[in-house]
Amino acid sequence: MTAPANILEFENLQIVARIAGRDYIAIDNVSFNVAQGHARGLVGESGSGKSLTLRAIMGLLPSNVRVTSGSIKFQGIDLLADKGKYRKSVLGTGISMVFQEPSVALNPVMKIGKQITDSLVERSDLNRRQARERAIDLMDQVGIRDPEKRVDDFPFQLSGGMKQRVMIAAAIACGPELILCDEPTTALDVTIQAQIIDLFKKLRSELKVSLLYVTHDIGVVAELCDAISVMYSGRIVEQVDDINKVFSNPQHPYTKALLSAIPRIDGPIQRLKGLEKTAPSLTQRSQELAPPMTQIEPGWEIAPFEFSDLNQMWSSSSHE
Amino acid sequence: MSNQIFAANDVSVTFNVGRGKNKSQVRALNHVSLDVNQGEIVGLVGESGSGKSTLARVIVGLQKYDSGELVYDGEPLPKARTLEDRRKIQMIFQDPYSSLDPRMSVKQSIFELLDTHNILPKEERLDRCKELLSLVKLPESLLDSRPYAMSGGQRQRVAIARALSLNPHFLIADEAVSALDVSVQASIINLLADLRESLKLSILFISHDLAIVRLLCDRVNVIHVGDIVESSPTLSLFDNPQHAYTRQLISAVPKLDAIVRNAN
Repeated sequence: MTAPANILEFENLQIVARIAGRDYIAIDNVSFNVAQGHARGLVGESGSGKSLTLRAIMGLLPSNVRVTSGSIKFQGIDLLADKGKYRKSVLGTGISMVFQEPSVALNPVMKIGKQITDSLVERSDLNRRQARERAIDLMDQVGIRDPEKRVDDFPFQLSGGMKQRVMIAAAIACGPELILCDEPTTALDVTIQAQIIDLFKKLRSELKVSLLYVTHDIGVVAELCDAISVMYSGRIVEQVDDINKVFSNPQHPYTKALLSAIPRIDGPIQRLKGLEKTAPSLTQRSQELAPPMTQIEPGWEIAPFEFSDLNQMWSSSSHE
Repeated sequence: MSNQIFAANDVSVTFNVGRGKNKSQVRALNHVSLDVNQGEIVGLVGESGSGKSTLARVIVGLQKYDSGELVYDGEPLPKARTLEDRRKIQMIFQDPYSSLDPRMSVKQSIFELLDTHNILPKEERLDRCKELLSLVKLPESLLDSRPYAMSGGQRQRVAIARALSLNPHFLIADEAVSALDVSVQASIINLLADLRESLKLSILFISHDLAIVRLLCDRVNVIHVGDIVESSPTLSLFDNPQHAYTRQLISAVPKLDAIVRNAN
């Protein structure tokens, strides 16, 4: 099998946040790809920069945060160039996004059917009835029962899992090739989470969509993704195209520490190794640039261990 | 059993919902019984809306119940509790960002409890605070800090220190680690396990996370829409779940070796 082309390519992305008149490097040296039809998990703790990385693709960065260097290419074309004109043309049809909290992301006073097809109506000449039909189709596709009845419901009439399905229906309405997921199952119960993961699996096999999936839950990544990038303190510490390798043989001390901190339902019953110190906050972080990654083998890279913030963190956690 | 510290027998709670013609009743707890032995960590697992937090609130006395009986150390707990009754059972809440008073320093919020219950002369309060902080592995330098200056993990440790300040024998942890990052979560779980050993605490650990429950608890109760559907020792619950809902819950947890399994 030949390696599929990359649908999304990050190259040396650097993001800077301006806080109280000073610039801080929030993200540095982030480079990775999402291969066509594949799913990459972007994993890290709160504040590791995983969501910022994702938001940079959509141009949804907060006003005090900007991309200072690097590129994000979608199908070979830089999304950041040309004042985002190209990005605007591919949002919805090429790239769409599913957010963490469906009850916040959905408009509470708009019927869900209309929210699902809003972006589609904008981009086509569907009339109201056709749009409604299409909304019903999409709701059926994401597993909402009785879509004919539900299409005129408001978000408050739906459960959390159903709202997330509505969000996903809206995300696939324009037939995107890449879906960006920002912790879409974190707010849900485990059983509902399992259903949403199955839905993403189904979308991957039926619609051939690629996923970039941001989460702090490595278990979800293990279920759903092919590739994984682990972020810490705004830098990628380890990434591999074949996710199994990380779980069976993690190379970076932070990855090891993170894996051993996770309570597992399938592992031995033993005391967890906590990471005693969490990552320093953005303003306390070392401002040195991230050193280049080292390749262990093709498709598997780790950051050098000496990087100062990291050094500080795992040397203090190792004696736990 | 002789070393039983707490039992809830046949507790039912009904809520009135809606008004006017939409008025109806919801059974939040349906003849629920569970018991906790001395020094034991008992898990209570269920999804949102299953009634697990309602049960926690009933046990600490924050929620009225329709019928049933609560027994503490062999004595029935009266519906109107005295200060002394309240001291015996303490609770740690889910969100350390909203359960601590933002205007109070760590010292003040522990003093508040000690003063309300009037169990310690004023000059001994500070020593007790220091002792509590070391128990939850926080530095003494945090005594005068307010919650906004602390991380989520530190706040949750303060919440635990507060709960312990009244020397309870029975602690209820209601989703005490759900709002925390995995790395911090692990250290709080370890702390609870240590406290059980050092203070001989009994803990009712309420969670929706089965993996944590498996690591921490001796016995587990599974609750589903107000009914406890299964109650067994942790090992047998995970190795040999009896109820269909338990099996569903267990199979829904993402497993790290999923891909390895799929590949083989």
